[in-house]
Amino acid sequence: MRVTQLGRRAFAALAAGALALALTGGLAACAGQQAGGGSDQTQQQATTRSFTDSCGREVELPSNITKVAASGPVAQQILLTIAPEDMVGLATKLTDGQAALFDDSVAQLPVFGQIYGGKGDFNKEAVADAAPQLVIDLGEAKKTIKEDMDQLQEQLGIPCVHIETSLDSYDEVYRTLGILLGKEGRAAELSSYCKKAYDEVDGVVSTILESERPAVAYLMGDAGLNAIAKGSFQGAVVDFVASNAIVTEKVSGSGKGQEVSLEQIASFDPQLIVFGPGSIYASAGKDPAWSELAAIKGANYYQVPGEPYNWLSSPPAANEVLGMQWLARVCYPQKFQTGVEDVAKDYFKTFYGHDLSDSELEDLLTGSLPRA
Amino acid sequence: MENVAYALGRRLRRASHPTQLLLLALGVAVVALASLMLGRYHMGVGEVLGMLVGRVLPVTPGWTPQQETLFFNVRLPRVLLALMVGCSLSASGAAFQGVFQNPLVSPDFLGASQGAAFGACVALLLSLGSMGTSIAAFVTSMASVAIVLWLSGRAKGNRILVTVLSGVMVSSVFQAGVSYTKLVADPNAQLQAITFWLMGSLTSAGPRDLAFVAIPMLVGNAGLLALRWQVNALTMGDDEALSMGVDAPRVRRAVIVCSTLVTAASVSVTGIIGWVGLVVPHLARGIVGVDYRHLLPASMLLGAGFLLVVDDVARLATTVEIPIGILTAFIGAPFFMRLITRGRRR
Repeated sequence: MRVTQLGRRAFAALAAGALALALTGGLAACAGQQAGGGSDQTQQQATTRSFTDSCGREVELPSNITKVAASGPVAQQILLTIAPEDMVGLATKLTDGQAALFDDSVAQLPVFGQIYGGKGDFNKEAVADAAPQLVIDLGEAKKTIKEDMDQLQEQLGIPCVHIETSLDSYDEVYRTLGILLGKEGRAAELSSYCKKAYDEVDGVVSTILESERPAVAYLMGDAGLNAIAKGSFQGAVVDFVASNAIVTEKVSGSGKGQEVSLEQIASFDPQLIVFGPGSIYASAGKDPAWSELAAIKGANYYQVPGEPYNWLSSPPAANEVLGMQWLARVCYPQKFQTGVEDVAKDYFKTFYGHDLSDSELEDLLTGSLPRA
Repeated sequence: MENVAYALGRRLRRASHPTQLLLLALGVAVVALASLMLGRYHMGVGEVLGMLVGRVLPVTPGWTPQQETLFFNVRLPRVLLALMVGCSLSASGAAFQGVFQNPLVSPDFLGASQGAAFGACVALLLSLGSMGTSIAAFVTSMASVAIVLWLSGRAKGNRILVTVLSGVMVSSVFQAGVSYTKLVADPNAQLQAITFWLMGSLTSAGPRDLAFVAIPMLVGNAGLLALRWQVNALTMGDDEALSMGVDAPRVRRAVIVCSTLVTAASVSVTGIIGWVGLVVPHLARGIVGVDYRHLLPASMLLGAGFLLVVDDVARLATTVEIPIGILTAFIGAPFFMRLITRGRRR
């Protein structure tokens, strides 16, 4: 008995020792990797160039890039408008409406997920397997973006760049992407569209005093009680074009806006309400509680078009350029020469090479046309 | 298939304890090697073995630099982390079940996970980066259990009961804190990061994470292994333990410290992974019996293998990562139920 017990002890000690050894070995191997690697970089020198991204990281890129991956939905939305044929995968699956705008091959691309704070569901091996020459991250610059990008690039062994986007910078973003991807021509077309659209809206909006802009409530959710508050990232277009009626002490909130009660909405007393796609636009007028609101009573409420993406906010990408033109025409219809239909047709043609038919246009803009 | 598994299980149950542990260790080694070769990015058997051996001996590289980068920065750290986390969670679960004389406790029932979650959420809110998040999670996790120990030390009444109650209380306070961080988080980036963190995943595993958890895990697991005889005594009750010359409250505190060390380390890099620490010790009990001298090492090995297999599913099933915390619950809960009902029928 004594002997077997000793044997077990010895065994346990041995097992623990082996585990420790395996761990240290593995660690050493991982640590050693950073020093090694990159043996044949010299011979690639001739075909690479240096690029400084929005967070100041200098990254060596192949000069001729034909395969890219997006790190998230914002990058996906924008890359699909400039270089769908170069995408090796998607961050999120396309909806039917989005897929219809592209070749079938685009919708069938593998879905890699996206990075969020270093985690998320981004599958690194699947990305590496698709062998993009560049991973592009677009959107708001999060505080940890530099670290996240460095880490991703180190782990993948594939260059990763971040380019910051904002409402007024889509023209520059497209120009930069054009240079990166060798698509200067296409980029110039999209870039000048964005610039023209922004300038037109800005030209109108800047002539209207802050106090004269309509107080707009942007409401989402199946009860219409998720409000996009003033100052939030999703509220950028509303804040830019009109005056956001929903002013709360604490900006932001849960996933789809901040939950508010109907009472609060009534007390904010919005002059104009825009409901997100799939919210209660259709039923609000018949609901006795809602129909007491001035905006509803005065039929001053609209539905945000949702194809191919929610025009106002999700993702906060180039669709915002379309959204700002729409909302500005809803708020100030008499200030524009062209109507929402013309804008939609032009945008779909320019960004997706798609001619909207009359019936498509009607479906797209249900409840969205200015009624003034 | 199931019959084969049961036949194998019966064989394994009848073998002597050292043989059982040896077989489990072999099993883990095989699963680990297989996992190193499996992945979305193709790496052949020869290349994987070559790269491993190449770290020690000079081997002419028959692999591409891209393969090497991915292998040492993505796949190997991830496999090692899965093994270490599985081992740690199961060991601390098994030890807790022993010292609290309760088969239903899991490694986080003293608030280690919720504490870590709160720390991580605050760090994500402040955008402290992935290392900052891990450190914050580790510190708050240890702190939450320290609060529990302090509270239960001051409370009157049954020691175990007050410890458990303090754990429940502290957990729920931190849970409320987590809910609050979700409320104030920016929905576009931070909220998503928090959500993914809470689901638990080994996606971000890299060499840095391994280095971060290695020491607490080694220390904690070694401590638990060293204490396994005393844990045995505690399973019989505090008075019995005393008659055997074991100071029950002291051992319990030591076990809590060691368990919390490994749990906090695990949770701090992976997020919350439930069920492993609860289910695996029961599985191990089914194989080696209730004696902690064998049960603890068996739980460690089984847990390491189990989590590795589940993580293989998480990274291989689709091109999108599936958060592993979801999988362990999906697999763990029904498995546990089956285990219970099977026992009843016999």
